Amino acid sequence: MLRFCLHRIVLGFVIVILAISTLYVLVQAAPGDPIALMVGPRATPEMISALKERLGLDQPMPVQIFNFLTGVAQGDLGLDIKTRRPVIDEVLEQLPHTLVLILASVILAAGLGIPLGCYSALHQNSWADRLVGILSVSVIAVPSLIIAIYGMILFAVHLRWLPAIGLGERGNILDQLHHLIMPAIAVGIGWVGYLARLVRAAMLEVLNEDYITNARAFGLPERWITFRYALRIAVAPTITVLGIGVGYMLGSAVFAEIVFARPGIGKMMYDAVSVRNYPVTMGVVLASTILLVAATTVSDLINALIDPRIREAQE
Amino acid sequence: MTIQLGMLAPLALRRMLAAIGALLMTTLVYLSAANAETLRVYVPSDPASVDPAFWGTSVDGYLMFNVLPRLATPAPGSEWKLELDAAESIDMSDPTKIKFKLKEGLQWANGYGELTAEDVKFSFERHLDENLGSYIAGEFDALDHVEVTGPYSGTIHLKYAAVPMWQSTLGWYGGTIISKKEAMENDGSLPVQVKATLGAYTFEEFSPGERMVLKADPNWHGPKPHFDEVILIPIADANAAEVAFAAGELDFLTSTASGPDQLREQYGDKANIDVLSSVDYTWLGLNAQHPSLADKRVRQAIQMGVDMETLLAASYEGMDVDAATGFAAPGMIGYRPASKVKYDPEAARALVSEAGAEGQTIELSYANFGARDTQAQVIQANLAEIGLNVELNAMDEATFWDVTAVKTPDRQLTLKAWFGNPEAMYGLQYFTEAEFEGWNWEGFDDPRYTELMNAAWEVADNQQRGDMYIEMQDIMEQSGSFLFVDNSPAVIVYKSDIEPGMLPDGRPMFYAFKKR
Repeated sequence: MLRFCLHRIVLGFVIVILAISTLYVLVQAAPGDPIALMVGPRATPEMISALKERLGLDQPMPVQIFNFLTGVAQGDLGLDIKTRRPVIDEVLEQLPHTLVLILASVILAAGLGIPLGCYSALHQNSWADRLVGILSVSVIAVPSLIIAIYGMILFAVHLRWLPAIGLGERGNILDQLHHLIMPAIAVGIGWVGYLARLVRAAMLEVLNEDYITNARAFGLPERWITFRYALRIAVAPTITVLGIGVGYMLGSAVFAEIVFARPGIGKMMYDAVSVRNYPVTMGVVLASTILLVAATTVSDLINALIDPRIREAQE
Repeated sequence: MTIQLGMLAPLALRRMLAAIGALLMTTLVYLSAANAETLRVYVPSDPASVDPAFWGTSVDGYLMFNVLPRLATPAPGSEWKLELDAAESIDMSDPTKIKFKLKEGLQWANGYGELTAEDVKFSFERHLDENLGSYIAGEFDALDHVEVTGPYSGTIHLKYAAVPMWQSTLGWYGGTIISKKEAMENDGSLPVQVKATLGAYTFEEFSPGERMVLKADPNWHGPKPHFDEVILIPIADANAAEVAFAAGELDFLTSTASGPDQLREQYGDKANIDVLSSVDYTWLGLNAQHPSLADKRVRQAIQMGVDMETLLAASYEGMDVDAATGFAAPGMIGYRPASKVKYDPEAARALVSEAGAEGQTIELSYANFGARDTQAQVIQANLAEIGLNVELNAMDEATFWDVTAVKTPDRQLTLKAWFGNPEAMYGLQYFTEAEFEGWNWEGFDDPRYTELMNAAWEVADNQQRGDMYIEMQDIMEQSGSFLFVDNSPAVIVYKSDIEPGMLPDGRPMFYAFKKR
């Protein structure tokens, strides 16, 4: 297991380096001069050149990438060209808000999606199974932005049950949770449907396996067979998908953070890209890449823990 | 051991008194919090910097005007005028020497001491320091140095007479005075959350992406603000801000995505909606240096071929927006009451034909932002009617302003807007030959214009200078290189029980806000 863990961590590290280098080139290759935008319409070309030199943006691309990676290794992501604050500080300030939002969305997706999928599989072709199927496809099809906007209009403006914007009062956990409900639903609701369909399909497949038939023949209780033997195996692909899903949720978090006026790296990325704030863009991309790699690595490790076949295959 | 009641009594009494005290304190704190009036304001972004050398967003301006002083500052109301702020008196009798005397006893917040003439000297001269790299160094081109003649007095020495600088720079963001002590603690510039404030409000909290909290400064020399606290909430999507306003979570919207009619229908009598003309200007630039536009007749045909009334109606959802007449917005000196260009498609077609330009293809570049896309499409349709084929080249804001990538001779039509200022010279000064590689994308060069501009720097009489600006804008228009579009109208929304204090273009001055 230790060898498996080390292998996954090294692989994750390599992925981060490659992804960051590629993204650096892509971000820099995008048209639009960040310095011209930063200093505004009235800056002279000389001023723009001087600032480029100061920020190292006049260097050849390989040198810039090397400098960036060296900086990353030292925990230095450069300065935000707008606020002139260290990017690492800004990213670390914003990251927890996004993590909380994604965690809440994952809990919502897994907490509803897995039981619903399980129930559907155990009651295959019942009216409840069909209803779950219809609802699942419906929520998968609706973009999170639409859910966010209409959820806000319905629950904040008309019903006044939920707050429209913000994080909630400092130090008031209940108020902060109250403010988290709508953004988490906007980000996670599509995944409820997706996981429900996935778990249903996996459960149906597992429930037809020979060892389940054997277990039934031995007279083991159905509840025991379902949760101890079937679900444990059926949930493995769900965990893998959920790991990748964190990346998709990061994308949805951009909209949720903008619409619900919540701080976070999604909104930070949007702002940074729109004004070509390269250091911040790269800092956020780095954070989200690490987050995605960490999520997939953790999901692989959990799978290895619950399914010895994966562990053994790797070893 | 026996514990007697008498031993307990003093302890219990002390505890009871402490509990009552704590209860009273809590009640007082609660009551004071309950009485505190909070104004919640939508802003489109976080601040970039409240340092006048590095400001970049409208929010930076709101903060500078509300937490930092100037010698004189714009006054709320419907007319552009300056009122003394940190200065007790100003003497501008000599056009190259501005003498000032500060009010005594003005204290920077958070223990940064008293505002002195040294702070003024530091605040202005730092823009000339190449190591600082002030983004607005060009605005201080005329500054030679600031002489400190006493703790509260000094003289601003100019290299040449630059009368417009008083309004355009010293009475605007560039003239913001900062605490030398705080700047020196931060390598010469201010942190985003400035501590040494000196205004109606202090900058208490900045949580990026979440909020900025301003608190009324009890030491401020002006009248006590009605609102004890102002919370600026950055929301990237103006539609979301409108919904939050409807949900009662915002009191004042500095801009909107929807038009006023739609908002009136949505909010009913719960909100007041003002449509104000900004000092920013949008115009269609026609590059006289480009072969396709080198013929003045083609440029004039384009000017006459655009139906401005339709263009404005289409781009602002039926809002009653007047076309801009130049770089001076209504209420500013140099404002032209009307443009001399009239929509005349017949005459335009004739000019195109005369110039042999029928069927010619011209590229129109613009930043795809706000109403610009609609405006570009109307221009395209209008010009098709006079025989010109327009190709639209929409770009995002960053790409559009990439001056180093596209040089003036390569540009054709550009639809663009600049941040304005209550002094028209702020924008007019860039239309010289020297700016061909910079910001004169129209390739405009006129000797009379340059002569008037050079002369206007020295004219202290507003009326006379205003007349010169009018003539300059006439020349711009007559050259065929400029088609003035609008002054970017701002739709301001506020709760009906609030009486906002705003500059003529809707910039909020929070100390002047009141509750009805």
